[in-house]
Amino acid sequence: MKKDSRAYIIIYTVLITVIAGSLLGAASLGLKSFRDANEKLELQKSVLATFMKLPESKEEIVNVYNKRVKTYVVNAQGDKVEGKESASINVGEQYSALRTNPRGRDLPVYEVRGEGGTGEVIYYVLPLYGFGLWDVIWAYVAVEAKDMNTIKGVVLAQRGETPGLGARISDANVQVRYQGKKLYDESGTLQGVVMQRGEHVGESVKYYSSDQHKVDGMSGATITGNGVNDMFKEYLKLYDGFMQKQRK
Amino acid sequence: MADVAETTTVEEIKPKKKEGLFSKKNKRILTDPLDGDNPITVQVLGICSALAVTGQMKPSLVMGIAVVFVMVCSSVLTSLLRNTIPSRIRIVVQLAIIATFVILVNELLLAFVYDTAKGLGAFVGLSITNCIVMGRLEAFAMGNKPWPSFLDALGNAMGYAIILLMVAFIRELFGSGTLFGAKIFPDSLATNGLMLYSSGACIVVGILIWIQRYLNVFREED
Repeated sequence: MKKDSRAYIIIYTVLITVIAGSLLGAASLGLKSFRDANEKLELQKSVLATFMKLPESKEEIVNVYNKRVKTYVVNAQGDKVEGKESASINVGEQYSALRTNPRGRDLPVYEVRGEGGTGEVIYYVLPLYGFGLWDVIWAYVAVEAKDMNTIKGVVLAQRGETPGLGARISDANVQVRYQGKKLYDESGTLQGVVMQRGEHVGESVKYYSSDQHKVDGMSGATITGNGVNDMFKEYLKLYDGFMQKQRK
Repeated sequence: MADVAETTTVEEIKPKKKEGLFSKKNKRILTDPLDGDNPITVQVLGICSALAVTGQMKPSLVMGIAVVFVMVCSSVLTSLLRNTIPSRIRIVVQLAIIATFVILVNELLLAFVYDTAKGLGAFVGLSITNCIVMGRLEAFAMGNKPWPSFLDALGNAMGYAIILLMVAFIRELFGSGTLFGAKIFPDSLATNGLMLYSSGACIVVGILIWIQRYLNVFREED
């Protein structure tokens, strides 16, 4: 068959497509378990990091998580949704799919118990989702179970924020500012925590260290900051029903 | 006349048979792109990713390795297939080959170096459109045997990776005061915010191009 004949070209194209396609399909299937494991570990790390220093080894992280954390799904009214698993819920997908109907989203809750995994729940870890400057951002907030108000700690994460500016939300020294802040005011209304403009450079002194609902911002990252604030206001509102129920 | 012609043909065949794996010619194929024919600073190709991923050393290193892998594999494969590829659809075939390897690399990164892969985001995928890769396939691998194509791809990819690391070194050091995430400058030393932006990278790449062309006495052809 001639190399430039139409039949040769068509057969060649089909062959290349089939070979490349099946190769990639096989690779994707073969590596899926690794990828899923990475994503699962990432989630477990994030949940744990909100309230404790992460253990060194992978095994230890999984171990602690399995022992101390239980998870289920609630709806915006704060009722447990039976028959839905947190693991099968893609918060990011639901964030964009249900943009016009945010209260229809499924809301995973992670309950954390004491060291041995027994006794009362001490923290509730709530995942938040939002949009920064360039791409999606997300967060995990650990709330003290005893008052359902005080923040134990947060983990903020981003994918495409500007390195050194907005991407700083994933730095520990930004996240630490949220510790001890309150979500509700005295009247019991959800206030969230609002990142302000400007920041005090230096480790110990913070402009807003005495304010219960404000934290120092990040210079040069106003829009990422707005995205974070939006998560701590709008997305957190979805959990209001759940938190109000726990507060009673 | 006939005698001369005969001897020349014999002579032509001889060195071909003896040509070692690292003959002078092959060595030049490998080393030229590292300096005098560098894809970024001399040919000014692949600039987009050079500006985008070079904020820090680690992603630049991973990106460099990914491009080395993609270029070497696709060059050798293209070279092996070069006599079967119909010339009318050669660009599409090259693209398909590159895309296959790029997606494969992306899958591997997500499976084994998840954190860095997350940081690189779309840029590994975008190396499908990296002009260096396609440029070398079209200009070299389509017309040469696998071994020289391998060297050419390796040389060009390394030339790309070296510049990436140089830019990242300058940007991370002055932009964040760190190298590979480790603190180098004390906190009291103000960092240069411009280095964190792609525009800062553009300036760094420009200066590198200037220095290199100065050293190599490069002159733009008329």
